[in-house]
Amino acid sequence: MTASQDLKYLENEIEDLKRQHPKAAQEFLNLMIKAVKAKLVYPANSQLPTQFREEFGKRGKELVEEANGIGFKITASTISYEDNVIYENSNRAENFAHVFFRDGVTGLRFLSGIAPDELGRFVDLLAKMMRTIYVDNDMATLLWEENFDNIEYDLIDDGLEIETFEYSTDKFKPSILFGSKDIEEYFLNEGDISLSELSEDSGKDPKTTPFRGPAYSRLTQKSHQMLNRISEFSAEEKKELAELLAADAGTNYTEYLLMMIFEIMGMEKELAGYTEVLGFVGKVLDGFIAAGNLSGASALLERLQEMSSVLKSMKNPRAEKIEAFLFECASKEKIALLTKALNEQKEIDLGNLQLYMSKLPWAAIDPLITALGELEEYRARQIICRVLVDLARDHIELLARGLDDVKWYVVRNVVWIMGEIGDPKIINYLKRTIRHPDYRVRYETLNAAARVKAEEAGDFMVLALSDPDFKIQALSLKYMMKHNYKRALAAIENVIKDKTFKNRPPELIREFLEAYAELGQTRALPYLKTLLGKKMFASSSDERMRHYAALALGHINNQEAVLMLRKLASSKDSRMASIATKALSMDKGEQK
Amino acid sequence: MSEKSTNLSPDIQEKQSKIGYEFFRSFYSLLKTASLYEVNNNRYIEQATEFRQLVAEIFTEESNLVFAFKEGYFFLNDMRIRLDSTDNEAADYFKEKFDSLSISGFNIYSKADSREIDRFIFGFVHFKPPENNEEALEAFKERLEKLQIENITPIKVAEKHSQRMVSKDKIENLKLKARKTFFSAIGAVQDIVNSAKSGNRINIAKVKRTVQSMVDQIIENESIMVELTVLRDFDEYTYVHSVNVCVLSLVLGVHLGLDKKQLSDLGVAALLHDIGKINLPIELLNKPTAYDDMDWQQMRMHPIFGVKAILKTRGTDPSSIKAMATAYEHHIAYGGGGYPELLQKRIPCLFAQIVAITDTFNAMMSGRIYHARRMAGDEVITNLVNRAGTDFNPLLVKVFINTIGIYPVGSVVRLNNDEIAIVSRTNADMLEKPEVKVIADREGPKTEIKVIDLSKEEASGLYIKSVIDGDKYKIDPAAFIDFG
Repeated sequence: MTASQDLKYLENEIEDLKRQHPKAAQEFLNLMIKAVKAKLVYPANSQLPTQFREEFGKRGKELVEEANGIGFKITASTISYEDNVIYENSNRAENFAHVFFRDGVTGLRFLSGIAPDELGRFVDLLAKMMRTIYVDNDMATLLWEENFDNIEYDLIDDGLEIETFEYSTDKFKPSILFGSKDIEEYFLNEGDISLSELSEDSGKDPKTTPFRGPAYSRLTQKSHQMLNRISEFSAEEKKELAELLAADAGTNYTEYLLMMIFEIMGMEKELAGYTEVLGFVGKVLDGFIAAGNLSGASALLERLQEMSSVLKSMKNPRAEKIEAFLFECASKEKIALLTKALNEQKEIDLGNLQLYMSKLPWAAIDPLITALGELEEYRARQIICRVLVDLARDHIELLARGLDDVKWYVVRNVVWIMGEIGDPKIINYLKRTIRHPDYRVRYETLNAAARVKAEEAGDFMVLALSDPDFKIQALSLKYMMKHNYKRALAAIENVIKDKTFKNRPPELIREFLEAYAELGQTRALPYLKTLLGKKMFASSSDERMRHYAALALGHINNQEAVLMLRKLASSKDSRMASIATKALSMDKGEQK
Repeated sequence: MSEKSTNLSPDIQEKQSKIGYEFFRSFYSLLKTASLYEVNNNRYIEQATEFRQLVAEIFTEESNLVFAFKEGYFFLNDMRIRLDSTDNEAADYFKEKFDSLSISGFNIYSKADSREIDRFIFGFVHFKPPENNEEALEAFKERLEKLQIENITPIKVAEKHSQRMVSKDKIENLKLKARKTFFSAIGAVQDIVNSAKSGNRINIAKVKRTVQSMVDQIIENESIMVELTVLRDFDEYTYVHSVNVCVLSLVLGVHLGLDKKQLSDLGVAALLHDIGKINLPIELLNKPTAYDDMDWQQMRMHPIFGVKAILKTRGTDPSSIKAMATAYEHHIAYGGGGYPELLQKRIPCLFAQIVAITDTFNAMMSGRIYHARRMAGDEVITNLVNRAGTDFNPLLVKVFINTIGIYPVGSVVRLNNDEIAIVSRTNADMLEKPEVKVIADREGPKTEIKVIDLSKEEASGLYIKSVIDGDKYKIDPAAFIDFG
């Protein structure tokens, strides 16, 4: 090899190495981002965030070990590895560079020896910071608190730059300094202390020599004993200390806050002061909601409700204040705060959501309908729907406002809630949605109408027969049969006898014929007979109509129909024979 | 530095933690015994046997053993050794020894036999490092080589984790850093007060960073931060007092073994403990005479005002709730009583118990306005001790006195040679023998201030003869703080 070839070879080797490591760094960063995003996107009960977190822990550690440590440089919009930009995002939202940079973190190093769990904790921290609600934490603070063994960071900390700070050390220097006269005075006054303990050998054994100072010479026996044993801690004392720390670690600070707040409320003597404290209670509630602490929020409302009922029984004017407060808890601002928290924090316990909302007054109906349109989580919407069933039972008119919502799924949810309420009053409201442009709303409308045990519900089924969507027509036929809506018979007849009837999908035709037979009984017989009549040049659709007509006969509880079916069951046409046999074996009760 | 996260079961972790603590105690006892007795002394033999058995037990599961001090904590094979305030003496012993050698600990390999361990123990105990600290480690290594110790090796302190405090430059740097942090904390309290007054949200991230810097410095060199607490407020507000209470609470928290997150919360709570005073009239805070009933009635409202102020300007995250609880309960007596008066008596939360002690201590030491005068160190300690069990948790008082000493920093004392001095640093293992700054003698003030550590051999025969009421003779310890 020539010298230049040598050089080239070496250069290539270095380049190869450089290419390898950015690849590892890139993979490391990608895995990290994936794990964080999973935590932000998926609900708490999903396995994916845990899976991605573990994957990053395991593979991330391998990558760090392979590269003997991975370090990143960070700017407002980029993350670089050895001068190669491996992440770039100029938007502030969901920016994995800016989340570090905005708090002064300009470098990150993952050191060899890192544990998978350490990487997992890093993901948790990063996910926490990516959420906007944690305005009080900064990245540097959280990194400091986490105290990672194998993750180092560079920090530009201007927080402690106080060169221009208004205090100077001179300000703290005393203006009057003691002088010779003061010393002279001291020795004059106190120079000849004749306390008994001032013997020559004193100070050698602190256990036998009392401590110096006028105050110590006046100590009580008990205090003196304590001071003499100050450095000794008995096993009992050590245990007590451990218990003290354990008790503190186990404190439920939500309960503690509630306890303090209610104590302060109890101390307020004036009504004005009481009202002011209630304002603070509102802040506490907001704080709980914003942090997703819905168990705290429901505990707060429950205590207020209890307090209100006690005060009410005593005819205390404070009861009114509390009631006004509780009413305010249902405001659109409070519900909007809740919606925001639910959208941002996937780990909120939804069991507590139901508990909290069950304590809200009817005034929450309207804001909760708005929330239905804004909540990202399906399960949260489901819970709100269930809560609204109880809340709106006596306030259907308020609930009905949701039928005008521009979002089809909100309208569908409201229709579902109405169906669950099942009050005949809803029929009037459902008339507005049976012609809704979205078929899913119309479908739900039929379901809701079917749940109302009222004659008018049959009208919806009739209307649905002319719905452009065949699935809805089929559903309406099912409900007609199920609830035996006789008044729909004429409408079915009209459809069946229409020239275009045959153009419908075969399954729908079958549903029509069966519904017609079920509701019409003997009245349907002549038409079915016509259909069953053999044609010399029958098409396949004619044959199918015959089969469906035979099946429909099974719904007619009449001797003639049975005889007809028996005859068909013994025909040479094996397909027809099988269908007729099936129709004969139909349990009329079950059919319904 | 926290302990390494492992996938070990809690039982195994607990066992390891227990062994780590036993190793720490056993190692210390052995070294202390070796400093007093010969190798064939029965007491030494007994303790050495015990130590070797413990080491052998560790080697049944580990191939080597690393005992190290890193970022304020002791570790055995990466498992943090949990110490409490009763271990201060031992901890200080190791820290000092390690500092003098520029090492962070030792590797002990399983091949080390009993004779090698004995040689190491005596070699380590009786090794006098050279004056020049830079050469200490090399000289120590030579000593180990001469003693044919191959299976116990010192770990050189990493530059980043250096615990050495011997370099003068380093001390100066630490002092400068401490001053910056301390004044930054005063600025933070000022910001808090301004935010609270205007009802704006407190920038807690900035406050937390300041507190975290304090924690780091307290772990690195507690005494430099503690010395600054002799500063007192010069105007009506309580900025300096709040910072002093914060520093003292953190020192107590560190000695209690609180972790970094808890220390951060404690520091913020301590800084905010008097925030409710912003709602009190300035005339009341400035009143030079004793408070009458009406004054006290107003003053007793500040814990409640504190909760409201924190609620108004902060959220309801656990850290803020702890701060509220501290502001609310720091005047509730441990044994019942105090204010605000509760219908159902209870013991205040841990942070409030801590701040109750440090708040009272600082108020007495700095002679805040409504205490009329600065109390002498012995009076302050006597007061705390006499109130232990009624006003304060006696155990916390005990731990606190172990951290601030019998003669707290800032105490004006007279030595037995009639020199007048100010206590500048506490010696945890010899509370009655602190480090002092000699400022005067019978002839009058000294032109040059001399620092004497009364616990050191060169000060033998010198001891504190009495405590002086500094205010009475215009001796203000703040005048002698070396700000670096």
